[in-house]
Amino acid sequence: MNRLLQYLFQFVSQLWRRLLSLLRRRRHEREMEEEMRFHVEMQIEQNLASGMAAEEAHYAARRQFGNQTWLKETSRDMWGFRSLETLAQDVRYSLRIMVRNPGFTAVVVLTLMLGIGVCTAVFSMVHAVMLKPLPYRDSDRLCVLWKSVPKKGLERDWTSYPAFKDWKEQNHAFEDMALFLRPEGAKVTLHNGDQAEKIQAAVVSANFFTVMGIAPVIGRTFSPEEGNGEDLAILSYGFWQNRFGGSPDVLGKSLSFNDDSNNRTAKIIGVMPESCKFPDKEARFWLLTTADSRWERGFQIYRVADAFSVVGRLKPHVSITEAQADMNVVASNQARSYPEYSADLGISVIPLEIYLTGVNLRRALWLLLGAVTLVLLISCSNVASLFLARGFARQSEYAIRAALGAGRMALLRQLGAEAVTIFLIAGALGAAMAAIIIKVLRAMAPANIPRLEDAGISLEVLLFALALSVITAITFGMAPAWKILKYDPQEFLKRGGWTDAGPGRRRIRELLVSLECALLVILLVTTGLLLRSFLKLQDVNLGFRPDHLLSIVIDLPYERYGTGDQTLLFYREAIERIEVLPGVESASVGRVFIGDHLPNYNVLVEGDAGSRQESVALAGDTVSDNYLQTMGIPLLRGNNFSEQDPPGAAIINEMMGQRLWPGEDPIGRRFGRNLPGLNISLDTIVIGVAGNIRRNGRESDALPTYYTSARRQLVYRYDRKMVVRTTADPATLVAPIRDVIRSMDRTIPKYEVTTVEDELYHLDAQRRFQLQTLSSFSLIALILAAVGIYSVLSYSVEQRTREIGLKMALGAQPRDVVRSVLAQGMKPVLAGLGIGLIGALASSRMMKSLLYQVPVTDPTTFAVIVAVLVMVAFLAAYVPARRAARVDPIIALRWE
Amino acid sequence: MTKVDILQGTLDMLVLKTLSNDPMHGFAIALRIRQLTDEVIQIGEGSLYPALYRMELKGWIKAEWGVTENNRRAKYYKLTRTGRKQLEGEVASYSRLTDAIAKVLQTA
Repeated sequence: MNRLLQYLFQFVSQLWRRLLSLLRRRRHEREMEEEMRFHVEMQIEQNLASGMAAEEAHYAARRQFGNQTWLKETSRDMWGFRSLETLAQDVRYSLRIMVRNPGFTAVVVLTLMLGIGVCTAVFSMVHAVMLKPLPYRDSDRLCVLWKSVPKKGLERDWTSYPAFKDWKEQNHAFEDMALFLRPEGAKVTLHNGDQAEKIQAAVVSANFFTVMGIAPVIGRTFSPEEGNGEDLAILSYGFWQNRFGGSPDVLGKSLSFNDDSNNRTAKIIGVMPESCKFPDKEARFWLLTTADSRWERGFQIYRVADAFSVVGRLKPHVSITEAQADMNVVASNQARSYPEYSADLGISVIPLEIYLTGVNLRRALWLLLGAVTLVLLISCSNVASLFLARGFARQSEYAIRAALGAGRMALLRQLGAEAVTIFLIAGALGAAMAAIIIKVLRAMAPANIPRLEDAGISLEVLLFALALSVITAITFGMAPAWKILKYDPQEFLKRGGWTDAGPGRRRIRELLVSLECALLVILLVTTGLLLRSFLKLQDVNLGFRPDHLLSIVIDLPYERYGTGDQTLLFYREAIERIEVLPGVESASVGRVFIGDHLPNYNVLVEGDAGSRQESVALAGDTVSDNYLQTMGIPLLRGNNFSEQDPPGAAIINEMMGQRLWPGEDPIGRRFGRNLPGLNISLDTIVIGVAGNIRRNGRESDALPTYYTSARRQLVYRYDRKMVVRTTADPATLVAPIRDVIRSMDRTIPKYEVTTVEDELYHLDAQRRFQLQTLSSFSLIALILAAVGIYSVLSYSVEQRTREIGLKMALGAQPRDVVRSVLAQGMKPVLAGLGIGLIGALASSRMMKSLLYQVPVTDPTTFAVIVAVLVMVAFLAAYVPARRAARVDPIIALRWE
Repeated sequence: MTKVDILQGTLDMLVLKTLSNDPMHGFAIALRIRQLTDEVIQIGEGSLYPALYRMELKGWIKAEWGVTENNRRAKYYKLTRTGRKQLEGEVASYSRLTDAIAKVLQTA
């Protein structure tokens, strides 16, 4: 082993000395000259001393010294200068050739720039979002754990602290687990003078940062033993910069806020780096669970207080599957120990990276990367055929060089240098272009793509661009190399040249065209299918009328709205004032979107066969009497809310009726939901059935839902939502409604007014972004392929001018020439089309999950794509075909 | 006083040995070897300087510009620690080789 190290050390130091000597080339040469001169002088002296005459002394010395040039060459070789010089020579020659053929160089560089540029841009995105490791220690060991209800297909539900304690104590797969509060429950009100602002915070257990494994920028994080009621806060980097100007004396200062029941003052003990964005990237600071007002009252005690999620660090060498199996055991233990709470419940273990990006986003990004690779391949094919054509044109040059003694290796090296030089230049320009493209992509992208803001030209991205340039250079730029290796220069010189129209040579170019068309078809079909999905989505019935609708979210502060009555009064007045505004048709309390998270309730149901308990994912909402009209939801059966309602009146939606009272008429039936701390009872009676609405935008489903009347009581005062239907353009009502609310109470920390169509637009954002990028790539690819078809065909026509002239002299009509050239041009296109369609069928199957109600073999899409491609190819081929028909046979026959 | 052709490895060894006491410039090295061997081994410049440059790259000797007794600038070569170790190794294997050859030549 020692010997090996010794050798390694020697090798490295030798390499280092070589490098140094390469850099000090000129000095070495000078010193060598001087050393030789000195040697000769000494020799002369010696000769003189031994008795020779002066002239003879000189002569003898020189002669003995031998051939200085040879000596210098050998020495230079020793230092390794020769290969460097040859390389420099090759590169200089390549540059000269590039300058002398500006047209060729421009086309090649532009084409490649495009291909490498988009590839680099998308890679930068993929790298920032998926490939770059998270800032936590050994982040692949981190998992998020959810409660799950496998029977209902509910994968992610919140859990409670007592349940979490069991998970932590009974598992064998995790080193440690930490708790974090669901973001909706972790919002606090900050006071800025007389202005109140509702912001997002994060509430975590004391061992949270130890589990995550990330160090603070200044100060310290919570230590696991913390939590004796001390109120501490750790700031996020952004908050530290904005609120405290980034000054280090923030440590020890107090942070005052209101966590919805109490005023609190937390001591600031540290600041996290910018990259720490867990559990919520909007969180301005982290607080302790034990310091929360709801901790002692409820969170710590009740097993049903489901408000938390868990992050765990796997033990080394434990896999996700093993961890999942282990937690399944824990879950079944829990079900046995607490049947009334935990029966039918499971635990989901999800790796942190997948949790943050989501499976759909990952698939979409890989799709994007695949699409952009297709674009690159198409542009490289174009460049390859250009290189082939030029390689042919320079045959005389190669022949002469070969005749003068250049070996195959020398020619290959020259070709390699040319290819790599031009590809590297294109690559550098492509990277520059990528920087711009990334900016555009980031502006276009929806806000919820994690870490997209990190996408930029980083070192990894530059290395990627470099590697891409070199690999494509060798694969495509050395295309004429095969020819070089095969042919015999003597043959060429003897015959005095030939045309590039022989069937062998043509086949390669046609192959390239076919390849391009096949790749293009795959790309276009992918884009087409996604486009159809998107359009189908836009037509989907939401269950309510989203036009002319506004959604309002209000958080009322505790001080003045502590009771349900006060809240009710506020909303009554708000509705009155808003309905008076010009352009408003009606206003109501109630939600438009129910949100992603599916709640899980135990429901007591009175049916034909008596009462029974059911576990249902149910949504409940307290609404005003005119909610259904305002939303535009049809009332299918029974009555709307009115003054004559019995206590506990509710309107259910059709889905809930079918779920809980299948085959029966639900009107008049009773049911009850379990609430924390209360006994479940049949306290609600159904008075009407309304239509289903999609709970969270066009791609989501409906949920069993019931509505209760807001006339009697409004319990929750935060995150209360209102809907307003307008006759005028809803965007014009945003400011007036904000004014109304502000005029009612200036201290309300949060109220947002948005049009429902805007919200739907944002829900579609990811899909739209994907579609926009894919469409751009498809367009680029289409143009590149058209250019490719055109250039290959016109080159072929040029080479076959003689043949065409002959045909015309023998009587062929221009019409026939056009037809034959078109046929020749379209043949590879159609062949590529066929192969591409097969490929497209395969690739569309892979992206099935991204499609919406569009079959994988959608005939419309395929037909349209084929038609577009054939049309474009036809146009691209028509121009050279026409040119061929205009060939003057006499000139053609004379042309050599 | 016949000139004898020597191998590259042996040449290196001789040069290293010559430098084992004092640093010398190229001319002096060749001169010393000629003197020590009574003109049997005459190292031409075409072999000497490439060898010196090669050994310098390998790190066995180090070069430094200095001044001769006649106040002329000359490049002096010095043995490094690695070079000294190399020299010891080469001397040992050369002795082993010559002993072995001598044994063969002694028989018959």
